[in-house]
Amino acid sequence: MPFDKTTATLLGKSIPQPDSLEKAVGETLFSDDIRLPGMLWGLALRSPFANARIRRLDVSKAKALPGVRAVLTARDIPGVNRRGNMPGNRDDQPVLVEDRTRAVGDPIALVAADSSETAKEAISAITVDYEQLAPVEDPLVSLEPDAPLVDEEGNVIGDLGYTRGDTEKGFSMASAIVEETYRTQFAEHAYLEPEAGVAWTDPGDVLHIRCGTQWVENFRHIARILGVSHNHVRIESPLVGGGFGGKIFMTIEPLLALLAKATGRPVRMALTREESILSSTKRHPYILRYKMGADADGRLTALLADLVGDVGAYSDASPVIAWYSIGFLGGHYRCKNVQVHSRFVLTNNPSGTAMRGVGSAQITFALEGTMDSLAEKLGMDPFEFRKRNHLSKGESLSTGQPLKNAVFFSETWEAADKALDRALLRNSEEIPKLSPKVLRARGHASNMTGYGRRHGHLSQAQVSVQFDGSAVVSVGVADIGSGQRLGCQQVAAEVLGLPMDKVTLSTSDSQLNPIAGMTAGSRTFLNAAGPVQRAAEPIAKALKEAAASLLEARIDDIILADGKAFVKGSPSVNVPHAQLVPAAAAAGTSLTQLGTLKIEEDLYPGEETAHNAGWLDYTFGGMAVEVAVDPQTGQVMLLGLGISHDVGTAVNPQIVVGQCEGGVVQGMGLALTEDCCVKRGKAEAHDFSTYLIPTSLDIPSIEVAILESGEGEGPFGARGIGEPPHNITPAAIASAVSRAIGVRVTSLPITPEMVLTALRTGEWPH
Amino acid sequence: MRGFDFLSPKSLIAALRAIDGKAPTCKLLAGGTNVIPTLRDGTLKPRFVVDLGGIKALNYIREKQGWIQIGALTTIRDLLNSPLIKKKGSLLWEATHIFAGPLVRNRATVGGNLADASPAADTAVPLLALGARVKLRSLKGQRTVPLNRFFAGYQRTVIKPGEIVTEVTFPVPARGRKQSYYKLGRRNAMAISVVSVAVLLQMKGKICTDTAIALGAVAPTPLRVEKAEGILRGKKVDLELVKHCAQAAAKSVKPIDDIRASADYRRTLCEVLVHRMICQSLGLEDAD
Ligand SMILES: Cc1cc2nc3c(=O)[nH]c(=O)nc-3n(C[C@H](O)[C@H](O)[C@H](O)COP(=O)(O)OP(=O)(O)OC[C@H]3O[C@@H](n4cnc5c(N)ncnc54)[C@H](O)[C@@H]3O)c2cc1C
Repeated sequence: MPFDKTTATLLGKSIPQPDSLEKAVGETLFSDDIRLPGMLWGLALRSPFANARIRRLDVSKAKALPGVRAVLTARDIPGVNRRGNMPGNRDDQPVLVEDRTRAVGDPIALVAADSSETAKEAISAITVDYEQLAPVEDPLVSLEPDAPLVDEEGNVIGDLGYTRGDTEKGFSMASAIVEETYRTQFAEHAYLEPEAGVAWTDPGDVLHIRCGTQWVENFRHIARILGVSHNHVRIESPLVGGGFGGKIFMTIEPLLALLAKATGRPVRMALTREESILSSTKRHPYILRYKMGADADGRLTALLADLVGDVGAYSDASPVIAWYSIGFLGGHYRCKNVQVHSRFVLTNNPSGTAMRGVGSAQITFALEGTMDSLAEKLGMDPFEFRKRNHLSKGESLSTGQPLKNAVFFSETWEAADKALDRALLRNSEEIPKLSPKVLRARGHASNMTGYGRRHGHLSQAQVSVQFDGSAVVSVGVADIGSGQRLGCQQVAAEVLGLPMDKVTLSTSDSQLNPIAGMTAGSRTFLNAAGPVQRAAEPIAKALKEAAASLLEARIDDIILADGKAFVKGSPSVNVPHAQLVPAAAAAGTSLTQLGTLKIEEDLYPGEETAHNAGWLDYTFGGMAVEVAVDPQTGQVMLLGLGISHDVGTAVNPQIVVGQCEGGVVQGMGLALTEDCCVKRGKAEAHDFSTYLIPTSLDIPSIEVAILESGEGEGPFGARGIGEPPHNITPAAIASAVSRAIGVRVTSLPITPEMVLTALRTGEWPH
Repeated sequence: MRGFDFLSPKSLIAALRAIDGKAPTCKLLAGGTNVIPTLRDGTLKPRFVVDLGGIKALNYIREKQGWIQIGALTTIRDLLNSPLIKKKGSLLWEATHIFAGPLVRNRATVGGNLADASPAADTAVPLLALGARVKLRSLKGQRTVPLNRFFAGYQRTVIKPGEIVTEVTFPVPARGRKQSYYKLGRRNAMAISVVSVAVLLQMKGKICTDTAIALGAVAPTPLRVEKAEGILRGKKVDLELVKHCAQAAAKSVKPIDDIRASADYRRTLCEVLVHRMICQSLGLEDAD
């Protein structure tokens, strides 16, 4: 039975997140707030060097200190000393270093003690004799045949690509060709909540880990490390204070698990901001070479993309991100002759991982920059040029995958441009105060972001109705602040015809809840609320059947809304759910239903070489931004910004606006200020006075234009919107700055110093 | 954080007694916004921490015989909210609303900002231009040091063991003085200055009768650029002269490369900003 949007009561309503106020006033209990009786304090000794051999490790003094309950090294790991993390990677990352460190922040030893002071004392009582080796800092150096090996299996962990048509022929047909190399930086996820958590063993010998995560399924890796079966590890995630991809794979969970197991006592760990930035994963820096050609009509004739990604020290999620990158490199433009190549290379830098848009922010920046340059070279307006080349619904990506849903290219571009006009109007007091000498320009970008990985896994959720008609949703997915719980609740309430407060949730528990996968990749509304919808539907059907017989009407005419059933058009004659549920149960309907979503791995013709690169569907959008550049200082000021995406269906518009604004602000950081400044493998910027995320005073006037094609794969036709607003922002800002200064911006972040150099030399400094 | 004895005297005299003979194992604490991070990361390991926060008598802003007097424990927020500072020390006031963010401003004190002697200290730059003086007290007595002789090097001052900064004071600028201040940071709040500039000009018609130019984050200490000042003093100010002055200012700084900017950029920006601040305060049309 297809869902009838016309009778929906909650769809399209901006229902606020129930925990927003509680978070704003500081009442929410995060992982760091948990204290348990008899709890110990855990701490790690981490490597200060990016590449070093450990000649000797002596923990005897630390062990002898009063109040120290455990000091663990690699030798004390009962199971396999490997983090695992992403199936398909090299499984090259030890939990505790054995004899060689490959990155700054690698844990070498663990301590659990009665107090945090004693734990610190014990850490400083450990002696390590390091033999320092030269770190491999540059992925291009790492690619050279005689480069020192970061990993015995070789430095290249992914060498992928595909070819369509004949690029050489394509370039020969071009009347304009542009070739540019783009570079991006190490970016920190900068979640406001640093890694923290507790672990303990219950009387049934199940190890519990309560720690903010984006993926409760990590319990399997922990079981392997501990050498126990999967049922002996349970992860429960409290509300997460931000993740952005940095908490998908395990952070401190295995360290907590080892200490709790070794001591038999509850153990807590909490990283300081400095330790967090120094030891955590980052957004991969990309070196991207694009060469594109177009004929005199402005039609693309050839596209060549070559990517080198800096993996950092361990393969972690990189193999998967390498695949995604392949999928995005070919772009969302029509071109018969395409050659795409990517290599992901190990170095002794911080490890790269998923971060909001998994590789697409870097690629969008380079692709859109090259498109702008090509338009300029052709003497065409950038919008007109893109209009001639943008793919439409029904056409296929160069990977071979057809675009089966709406592609709102012009619609989002134009809506974003109009939104920018409104944003500038709101800023109309400040703009006239600008010096007439500033360089003002408008820039644009268009983007395509995937959601719903085609991995063939199941996502599940369970919905139960109670005798009084209220309902409980159970779904094993973590809420990282962007409304994952609310989404599941709203969908269940809509399908069952219940008010919001009659639906409660149980989430983020790897043993109590059906598993719905990671909160990542703009997938969660599809992959968590989707199964919820599927679980709720048979219950709704049973309730309608009960109502149909009580009201003597056809089931198709029954509406469920606000806890009652009635015949369409006559809400005054109704039956409450409290009466329907027992009737449905008596009729033999199970009051608990499991909903399952499986995204197939089906290949499209010709897609073989790039099949892993594809997503179930894509979200399309546009952005327009106006900047003012101070020609003497190089400072960039954002005067206003308009953003528009086709979200399919805006089930909760306020959440969509929140994702758009938040994504823009985080994207601004990537565009203008954020850089870990990695030197000798170490993030020199490892606190918030040097790693510069935007403050509230940096945020420009932002206007969001939500478009709804109704065509999406999520519940009620929704598309993923968690990442797209973020990954388009650096591209749009760079486009505006490039126009303002007359030099193509080819690296991030765009610092005032680089802008000034570009203005003086006529070239972008790398 | 290691263990230490925490003393909270309630009067200046009690504080002076508490620290007497204890240097160098003793650390004064005002708002703690510099001290706490260094205690936390272990760079500082004092045996005694003496909290000055309880000395209410050192928190005041007042005007006396042509001088503005500010107690050392006055917070940045107090300065920001002071109509007197806004009116008669606007140069300093400008520096307070771009100082860190509200949380830090609520705790950070002017005495702590000066005693910390960071090259980027945001109150130091306008106070230098205003010709401020620092009052120091010890059990032996009191002395007054001009602010431009207070800084002794990178994060070093002339404060002697046993001394406490009690007040910073500056003459009320004469009527009609042109004042302008600019802080260039990498973001609009919570930013450590890349370069900061304060300019004070006394004009008689087109003739500059007096001037003060101070710069931050471009040398081991915040500094006055006296050579550059001399170029304007007593002269008829035109664009050519302003250009000379700005170039001289850029020549007298010794910036470093750090995570926020290179030395070259800082030097260039000294010239740009000194030029711009002078032109702005005089209403001169800036040619480039
Ligand atoms: C997040 C953050 C943002 C910041 N942003 C800025 C900024 O934008 N601009 C800026 O200039 N600074 C900034 N700072 C630095 C700091 O806040 C200021 O320097 C502040 O004014 C220090 O004052 P305080 O009272 O907190 O000093 P404290 O930390 O208490 O003391 C600083 C130093 O001065 C000494 N001291 C304090 N009072 C006296 C006294 N009366 N006599 C003698 N010695 C004394 C202490 O022993 C110590 O050495 C920032 C700091 C943080 C943590």
